[in-house]
Amino acid sequence: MQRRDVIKGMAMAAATAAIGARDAVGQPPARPAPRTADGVAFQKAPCRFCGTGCHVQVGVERGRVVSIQGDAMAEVNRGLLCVKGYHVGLALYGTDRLTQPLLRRGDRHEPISWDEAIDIVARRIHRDPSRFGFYISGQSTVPEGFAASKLVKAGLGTNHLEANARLCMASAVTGFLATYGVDEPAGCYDDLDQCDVLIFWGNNPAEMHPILFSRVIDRRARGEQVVLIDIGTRRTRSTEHCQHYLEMRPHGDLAIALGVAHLLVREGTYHREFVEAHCAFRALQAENPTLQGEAIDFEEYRRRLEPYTPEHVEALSGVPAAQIRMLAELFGNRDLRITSLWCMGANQHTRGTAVNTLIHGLHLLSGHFGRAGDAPTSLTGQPSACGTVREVGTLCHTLPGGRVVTNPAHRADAEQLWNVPEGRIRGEIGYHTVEMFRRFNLPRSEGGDIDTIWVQVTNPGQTMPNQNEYFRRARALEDKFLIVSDVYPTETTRAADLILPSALWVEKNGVYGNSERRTQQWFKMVDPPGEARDDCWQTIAVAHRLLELGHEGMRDRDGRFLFHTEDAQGREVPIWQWSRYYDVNVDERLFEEYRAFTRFKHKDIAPYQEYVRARGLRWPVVEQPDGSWRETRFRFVEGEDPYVEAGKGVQFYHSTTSDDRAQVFFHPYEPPPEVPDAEYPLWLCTGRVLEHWHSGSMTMRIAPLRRAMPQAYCEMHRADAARLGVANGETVIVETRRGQMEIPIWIDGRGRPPEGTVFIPFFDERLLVNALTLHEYDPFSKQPDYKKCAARVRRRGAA
Amino acid sequence: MPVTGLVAHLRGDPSGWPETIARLGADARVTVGPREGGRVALVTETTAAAEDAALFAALEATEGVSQLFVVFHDFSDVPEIEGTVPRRLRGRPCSDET
Repeated sequence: MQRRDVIKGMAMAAATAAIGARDAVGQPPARPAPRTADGVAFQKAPCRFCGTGCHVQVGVERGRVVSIQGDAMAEVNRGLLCVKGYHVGLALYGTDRLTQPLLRRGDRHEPISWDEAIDIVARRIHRDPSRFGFYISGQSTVPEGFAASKLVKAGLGTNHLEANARLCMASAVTGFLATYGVDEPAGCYDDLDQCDVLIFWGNNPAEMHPILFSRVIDRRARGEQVVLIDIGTRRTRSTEHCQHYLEMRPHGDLAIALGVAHLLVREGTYHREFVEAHCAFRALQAENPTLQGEAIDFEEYRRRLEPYTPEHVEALSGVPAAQIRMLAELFGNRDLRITSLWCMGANQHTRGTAVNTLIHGLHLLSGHFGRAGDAPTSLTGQPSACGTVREVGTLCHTLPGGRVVTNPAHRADAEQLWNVPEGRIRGEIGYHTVEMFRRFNLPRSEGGDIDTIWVQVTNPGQTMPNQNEYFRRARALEDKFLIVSDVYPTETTRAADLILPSALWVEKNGVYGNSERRTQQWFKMVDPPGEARDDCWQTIAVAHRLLELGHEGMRDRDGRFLFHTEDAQGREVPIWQWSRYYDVNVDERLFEEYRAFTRFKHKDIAPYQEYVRARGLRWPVVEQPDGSWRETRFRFVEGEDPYVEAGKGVQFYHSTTSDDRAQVFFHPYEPPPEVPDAEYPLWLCTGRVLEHWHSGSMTMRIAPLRRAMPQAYCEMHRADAARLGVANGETVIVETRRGQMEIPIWIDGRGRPPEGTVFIPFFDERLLVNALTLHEYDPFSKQPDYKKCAARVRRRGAA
Repeated sequence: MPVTGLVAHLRGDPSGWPETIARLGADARVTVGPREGGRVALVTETTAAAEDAALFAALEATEGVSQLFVVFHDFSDVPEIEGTVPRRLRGRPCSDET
């Protein structure tokens, strides 16, 4: 048999396994992928791209990834992959991988040794750690995030650690915390197999989470009835599959949720028993509002909802009153099972916390919670925004396992677990992302007290809002120093003073945590190119160099190195030396250390070796009497969640009111901070596309993806184009009060914005739409709003 | 010579599925495998990555196909792995004006 026939046979076996796996809804598929075939060795790994957490089987031959197969053993994707997952292996092999440390000398980046590079980073930090910011990512692995947190919080004694997930899901976090007292969804992807109604709140899963979307579309193909409802500001590929499309004006989601709540209360169709047993009501204080707000009673809640009649909501949102009534009737029908999904539309919102809590509130008020298919579920855009950022706690106010730096007991607990001296962890919240970059882009004399930022696994030179103010100014300032660890040249590396080449995906060990609380592990399969090295090693090497420079924070209570690691014989392993880094499994050591943090908020994870065997496990993962480890599909639900007491049915055991109740919030409608006017008459919305992963630094190097979507564009309604006199494909100037760009127009393109709105994706580094976006952010989550600002479009040469 | 394993999700009335499957299999580069409910296994074999992507798009657009997913992708003997972001562009990058 020819090699090609073998490969074709493997392809057909994978496809056949996948179609069979789809019938086994809720059951782990039984047929494993081949471990070896024709000299190609396969191992599991989660896909490197979005937050869905699909598993792939990675085929390696002679030290190179040569094949990608959807993993039929994985419950998440059951063998299927989207177009990005299909090409994930090629992300490793762009011809311009960064392969050696580069130091800026004048206008050039020149090669230096790793020893020099690590020394430079350490000395920049050592001269004043309080002026150093570490900016990592929802694509960092769990051990990488844990090491970064330990370095900054337990070592340097500062809290200037942030992650780019601040820009994509921070409002989801505050929504969960305010409502349930603990972060992350109670439900999981199984809800998609059980729901009767699926509502997208500003969400486009057909493009952004296609494998999840396929679960529902597939049910329809089997003849099941599932009602899909799209609430959005522009028509997308998801809309094409929906029975109902509610086209709202920006911030209309606030009004819609309030309008549905109004009707549920007015008509008496809310779930009285569920509410009386499990809910309390809250609203923001009139002065100095806090995330937790203050208690109000049901009558006060009813009173505050009174103005939000369907007609008033129509006036605020643009959505017809009849559609508000339709939604309210669905929520009022408990024979149905309703799942809400949201992602960037609700999160990148200056009232993101409000809209998140309002959506949770609708599910609680109507009792659409706690049954399979009844769930309010936020999705994440990155593969480990949940695992690394939310669970490990790599934000400026958090500590691992759901602790916060402002709580003395949490700090003491973390100091104990990290074995560092009492008082090492500071109680003051560090700078959140926008503030960190604002201060980096100001002279010290004007409050610019951050002078060094180390960026790992992300590309703020393309993704920070209001780029000219929040990223580009620093280049002209004295004594600012930008360190960037990355795999390819990006807009961020081009601005960097020091570039550190990183290992990517299966070039290193890793652990991710996806959108449904599923922790996933993989092993290194191939070597990184040239001198590229693991981000985690870089962090540990810098920590050790700081120790050599005399930084006492790099020692634990016993005087040992903060990342002290021993082999099986009790001898220290110098993991700060690259040649010794893989003498032990550093990932496993850090993961086990992190595991000790996770029980506090009942986010228990299993031992590392359990994840080696599994295709991920959803926390809390609790050991059973027979020694096995059981994951949890639905939190707060008796019989599913091991922490719910017998007889409780539903128990919100992290209630902010300590009475097992979830909080139903009232937040008033508020308009966006910037709205179109005579000077800037259009809404500008930004977002992603199916083919490209975030800023495109990987997917724009994958030829088939680039060919499929070669450059960014500006979607525009035909009527607006006619008014401006521009033709399809014509390059126009798009301007906001913050910047301008030239970009071709796409009329009747993939997305269809309504009249008065334009949409531009942000994946194209040659067309930086974030020079135009707004830096305003939600007051609680500090997450900026990329989805709406005022813009104008003009023809080139026109005034 | 990319080899790709695919799963096509068929739409509509099951009585129309055989016709859809026949349309998918009409291309000599496509091998049709088993069907399970509204899903059918396919393998495509092309000579270049660009052709592979074009065939994928064509199959996805086939009448009667709801969605198309890749489950296996072998690129071990694909010579054309490109690597850099192209600089050519119709529009110009944004200005630094504020």
